[in-house]
Amino acid sequence: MNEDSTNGIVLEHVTKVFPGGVTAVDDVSLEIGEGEFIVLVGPSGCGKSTLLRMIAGLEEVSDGRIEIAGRDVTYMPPRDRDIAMVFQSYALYPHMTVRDNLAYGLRARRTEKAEVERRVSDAAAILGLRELLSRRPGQLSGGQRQRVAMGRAIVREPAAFLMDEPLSNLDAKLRVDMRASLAQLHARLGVTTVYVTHDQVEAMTLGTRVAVLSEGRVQQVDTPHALYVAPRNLFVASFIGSPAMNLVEASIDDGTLRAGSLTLPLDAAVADQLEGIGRVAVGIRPELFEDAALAPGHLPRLDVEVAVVEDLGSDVHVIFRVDGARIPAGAQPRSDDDDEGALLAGDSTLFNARIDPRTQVRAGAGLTLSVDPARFHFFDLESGNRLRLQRQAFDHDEQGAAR
Amino acid sequence: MTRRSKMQTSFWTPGQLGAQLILLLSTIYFLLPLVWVTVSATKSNDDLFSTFGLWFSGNFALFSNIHRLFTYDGGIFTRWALNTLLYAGVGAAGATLFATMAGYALAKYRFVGSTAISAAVIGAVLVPVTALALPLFFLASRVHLVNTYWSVLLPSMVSPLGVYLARVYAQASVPDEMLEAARIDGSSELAIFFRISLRIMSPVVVTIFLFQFVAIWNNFFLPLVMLSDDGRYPLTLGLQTWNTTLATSGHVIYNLVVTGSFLSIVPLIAAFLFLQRYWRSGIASGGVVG
Repeated sequence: MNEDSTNGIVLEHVTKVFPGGVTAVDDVSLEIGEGEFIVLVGPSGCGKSTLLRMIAGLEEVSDGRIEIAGRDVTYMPPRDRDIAMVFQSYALYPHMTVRDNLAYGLRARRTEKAEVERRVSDAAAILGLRELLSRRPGQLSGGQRQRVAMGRAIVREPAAFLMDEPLSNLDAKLRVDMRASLAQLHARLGVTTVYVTHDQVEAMTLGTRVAVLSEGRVQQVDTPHALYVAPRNLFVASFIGSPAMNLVEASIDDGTLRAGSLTLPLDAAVADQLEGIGRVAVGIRPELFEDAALAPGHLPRLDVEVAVVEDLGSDVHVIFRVDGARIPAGAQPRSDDDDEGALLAGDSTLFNARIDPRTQVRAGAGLTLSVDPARFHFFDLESGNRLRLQRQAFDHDEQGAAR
Repeated sequence: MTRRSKMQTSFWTPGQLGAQLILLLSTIYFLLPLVWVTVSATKSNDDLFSTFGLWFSGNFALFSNIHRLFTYDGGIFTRWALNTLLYAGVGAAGATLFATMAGYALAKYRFVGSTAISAAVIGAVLVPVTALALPLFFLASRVHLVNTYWSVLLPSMVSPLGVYLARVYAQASVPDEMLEAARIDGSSELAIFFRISLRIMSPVVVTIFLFQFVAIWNNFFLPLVMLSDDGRYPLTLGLQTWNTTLATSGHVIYNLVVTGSFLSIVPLIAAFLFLQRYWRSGIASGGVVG
């Protein structure tokens, strides 16, 4: 994965303390391989944008070291770092045509005229901007402006692209289209890319690897799949996945997991490893539930009182109450996508089950769900860290991801 | 004055009527002197005092007035006009450049003392130019600039109001992300200012230029204090000299003073009409979202 990180980006103990004492980025070390597409994701204020701006040279580094393509750039001005950046606001030059916007960076570097022509027309062809070259940004739609911003980065042929929430000003449908275009573009150009977003779906779909940040620290760096199947701590567990992982305090006695009104039998091997620990946090992905009427018979069942039913067509989200203690707020990040629990929060915890759309469930009625305990996640309540277990059904995934 | 369209209701409320009246009165107040100067410029010296001030006399003397104006006293009026153009043109251009740069720097760069400087600039806006004339004279005499073009030009290139306007405009209309994009693109700070920021700030550049141009054009006290050689006089000072010195010495040339005043307004009006089209806002729209 990062076999050739010397030509990528290396961050060593990078720290940013703002005047006034706020630590925005706290001792981040990261190796980004050449050609890798790495996504920095986290809730607002987690330091992801500050980290990106430090790589770009727009923000001074308080401590640590940054290397791009084998050169120490820690104290270099942005223009000497051989990077190109795409901003959330696009930051196009409003008084220039699209052509001049694309060419500006090359002309500022005194690139030969014919070369400028060639690169601009290449980028315009790739991004479908040919017809728009003589227009000004004010005459373009949001998606077109976004493409011009991309084009401005591409023509520079830099060692790395830095992207700061480049899609967040587009409407939902366009964002999905642009996401796919971005992935194709990266596959085609193969340029090292650092991409900042607060949207975990973007992070999961775009990243070769994803770095989850919280409070200025890297919580976990891994492939999207590994983050999903083996989150290292409660923060990553609750941040990655939509709807979010269901988390509740639980105890394990006699091979049985008890979390408030929930009582479920566990695999003997798993239960044995957990028994001495006392109380843990258990994490259950919404898709581990199924309407018992539509599920295989061997799985354990539980009866729930349905609070809300969300029929999405492809599947149905069933929200129900579990009388267990909520996981402390500090461990649970507040993100834009993850406020299901916020409205109805009380002493109890709300669970979300993603089940087959053929279900007959109605809000307010009772429902029997089946669930697969073999794929539960367990976390230490104190540290929030994942409890690593030896188990057969899960081993393959978890071991693969943890490498 | 106001023609009401058919779409509107046909009666004004007392409040609207009052507002319209006040507007009408202030319009008259400001236009009356202009009308008087325009009308009076067409009169001979005798008619100036013997006919009704706000209407033309039978004898249309504008062209003979203009002819005499440009030939009187060895054609020195032309000299004064060119001087005024020099003072106002170069002074306003310099003031605009410096004010725009300063305001932009105060708005867009973080440096020690920027808040204090901003406060000082606002304070300086409140100081009347007249109050500075004497201190400036003493300064100028110290460096032997008195009675030179520079003695009027240099103080004219300072515009605290311009700095203030540029700062406010740059804060609101030049996005930080765009400057960062340009830095990453490889531009120097100077290139960013001249190629990008200045273009976006063009409405405020024009505004500062016009304000300063008019202020210098109409400035009387500073040249009065600084200049003693009438060959360097601007129009304001020259016409005033005609009005007092020559009149008391027996030459009766009020018609020339009035015609000179009339002609001296024309370039101002032209400048306003010409530069108005650059006064469009929204030139920056579309570059940055939000």
